[in-house]
Amino acid sequence: MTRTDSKLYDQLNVRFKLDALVAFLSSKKVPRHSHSIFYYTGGVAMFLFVVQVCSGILLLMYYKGSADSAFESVRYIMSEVPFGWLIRDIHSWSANLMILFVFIHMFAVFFTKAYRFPRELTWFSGILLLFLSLGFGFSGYLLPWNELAFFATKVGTDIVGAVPLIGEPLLEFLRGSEDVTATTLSRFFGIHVAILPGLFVLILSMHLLFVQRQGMSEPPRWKDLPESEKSYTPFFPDFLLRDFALWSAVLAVVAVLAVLSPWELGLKADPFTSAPAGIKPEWYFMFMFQTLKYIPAHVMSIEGEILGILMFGLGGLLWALVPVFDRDGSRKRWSRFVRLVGLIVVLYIIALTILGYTST
Amino acid sequence: MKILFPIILYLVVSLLLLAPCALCQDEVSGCVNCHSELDDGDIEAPTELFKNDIHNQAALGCVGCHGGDPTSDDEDLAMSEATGFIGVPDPTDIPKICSKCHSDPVFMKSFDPGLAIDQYAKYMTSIHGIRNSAGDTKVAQCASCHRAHDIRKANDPKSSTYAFNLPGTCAACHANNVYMAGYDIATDQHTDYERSVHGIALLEKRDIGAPACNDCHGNHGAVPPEVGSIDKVCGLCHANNMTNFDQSTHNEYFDALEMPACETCHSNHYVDSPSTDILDGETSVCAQCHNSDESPEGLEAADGMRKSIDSLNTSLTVVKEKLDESDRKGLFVTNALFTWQEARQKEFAAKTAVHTFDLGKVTGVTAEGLELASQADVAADDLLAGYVFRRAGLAVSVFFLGLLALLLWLKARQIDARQQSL
Repeated sequence: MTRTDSKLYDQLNVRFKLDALVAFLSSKKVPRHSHSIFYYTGGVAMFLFVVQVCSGILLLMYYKGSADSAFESVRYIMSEVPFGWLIRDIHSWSANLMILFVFIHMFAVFFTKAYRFPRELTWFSGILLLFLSLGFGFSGYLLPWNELAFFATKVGTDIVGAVPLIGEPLLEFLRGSEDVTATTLSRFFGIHVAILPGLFVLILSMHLLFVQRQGMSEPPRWKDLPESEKSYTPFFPDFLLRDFALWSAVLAVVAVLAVLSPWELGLKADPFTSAPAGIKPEWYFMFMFQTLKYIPAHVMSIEGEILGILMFGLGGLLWALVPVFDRDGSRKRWSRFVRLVGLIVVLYIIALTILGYTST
Repeated sequence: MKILFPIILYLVVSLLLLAPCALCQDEVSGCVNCHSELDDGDIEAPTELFKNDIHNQAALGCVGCHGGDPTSDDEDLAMSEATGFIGVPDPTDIPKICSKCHSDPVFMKSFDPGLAIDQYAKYMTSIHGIRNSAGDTKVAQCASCHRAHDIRKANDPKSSTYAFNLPGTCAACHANNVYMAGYDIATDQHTDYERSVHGIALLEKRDIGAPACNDCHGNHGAVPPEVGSIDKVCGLCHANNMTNFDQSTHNEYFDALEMPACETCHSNHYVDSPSTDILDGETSVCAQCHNSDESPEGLEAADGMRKSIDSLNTSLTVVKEKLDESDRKGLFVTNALFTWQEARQKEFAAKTAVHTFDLGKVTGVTAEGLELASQADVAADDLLAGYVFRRAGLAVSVFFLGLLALLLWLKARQIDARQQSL
């Protein structure tokens, strides 16, 4: 049965002009080269976001976002709700994998120079999606209201509070009070399930729209290649089928992690106890946390923590603005320098993260 | 003239600034100034130690205990009899010297309204106090336990009377064979205490709630508890054991035989971790009085109690192993663990019920414990069965997801190959 033979298709086509969509999909193509595999990373991150939304909605059926019942509701989900443990573990593991793939996707875009003209806005929206993903991770970590989450949030928001000028109001905005309290939990719950998903979907839609309008970026070296030497894969159905295959494999990995390495619930948060030893943030914040530990208390009359935050703020801003500094490939040496800086950043993040988990 | 004005101004300001400092020179400084510069360690050492002394922090100087005139620059005059100087106090005088302030409610109120003022009165009822007042200079007086120049509050971890340090403070004398030679008293209390359940809790596990020497013997009024009061002393913490014992038939017999209540079975300084070995078998304390010829029912009851408690303990061990295994496998054991802990609590209650010496009461409690252990066992079995189900489910899911991925990939390759051939 072809599409022209289908009465259903005809009926829909009359109403929704499907021919235009099919023509668009048929013409859409993905460059084929030695780094083509990185084109899949964004799709995997998006797939994991969908897993997040689905598992999150299921958790919402039983989760209660208040300090007196949050911990108990998660315990109930894990012990009494049929497959509740699986949903929670899938939600937690897919969250971590999603952030991992967002990072991989970003570095892939960076090293393939896909942020250059005309894709600056795609890069900027991607950076926003990265920050929103980290926001998801940070706000979601507190929701079980256990001891580790409580104190990690306390440390994390303390760092936010140290930001010059906007730190104090930002801290109060996040916590809803001077300290991490029941109000903070309610606030984080609202941010996690309403504000962030809304913003994320909006920016993700823009991000995808940009990609669709501009197509996949081609390697810079293709600029001088004749068309006959370029190779492409049709997006539909070839690339999409491979996308689905990879998503199935990723889902299998999530299932294996969820069953063989489930997330502990620990003890209920008690604001009156002292922080347990060895409080550490989630792995994606570890490199910053570890860096702050190495900065002296005072550096030339500036508080070490504030200096560290300013350095990361400045570094993040420069990273986000890379399409402005590296507009095209006309300056080869500058382009190589930017790539070298990116490589150093990656090595730094990996090294500091490992140090964060291995140092005493 | 122009140059004179700033000089005069400087001198005036300096004098104004220095004057209050001269006035605030307290009496300690006079003593400390000289003693801290002497090479003689015995004379110099107190000046260093006194820096952390609670009395120094309250601005109470040397003169309060030693007398003398710290304001005098003349060494002979400062430490003359005329100024009340007594030098190093005689050990028999120390309690009286300390009590001058510490038994004065008005004086003490201005420093520490919450501090007791009955230390001297209690001390005089203690063996230490009685011997000290009789002229024995070796027995403990205030400075023996609290030190002389580094006296800290008892809740200061560096204090010699802080809970963790107190057994060592008492042992300084009581574990010294030579020092205690003339007193006809054992010197193994500290060794026994260290390996007792109380000593291990306090000294190894750093459980500050565990009893040190003073919790049973009293501190300032330290005496060995009388035979009739031992159960009251132990009962301060072990209230249910005391109540059960007091209401049991053993209470009367122990009184009649003048046997100390708890100590007869549990010893005094070496109180071992409670085990059912104490009831039956080679280490049975019941068999010390009961024998199979004259009072077999006592031994039978002890045997029954042991079997009953052991059976609960065995069940709890088996269930705990299953729960630990479940926990290692990442299963959510909290709910089953709550039930197990309730059952474990029943084991403690059964051991407490042993002090009624009523087999029926002990087996009643263990039966409740066994029922709870059984519930925890079922829950643990469910968890482990669930784990098998999870693994099987995972295997099936991974197989189908892998198969789906493979088929999709093959299909993509097939389409790709077809397009390449066109």
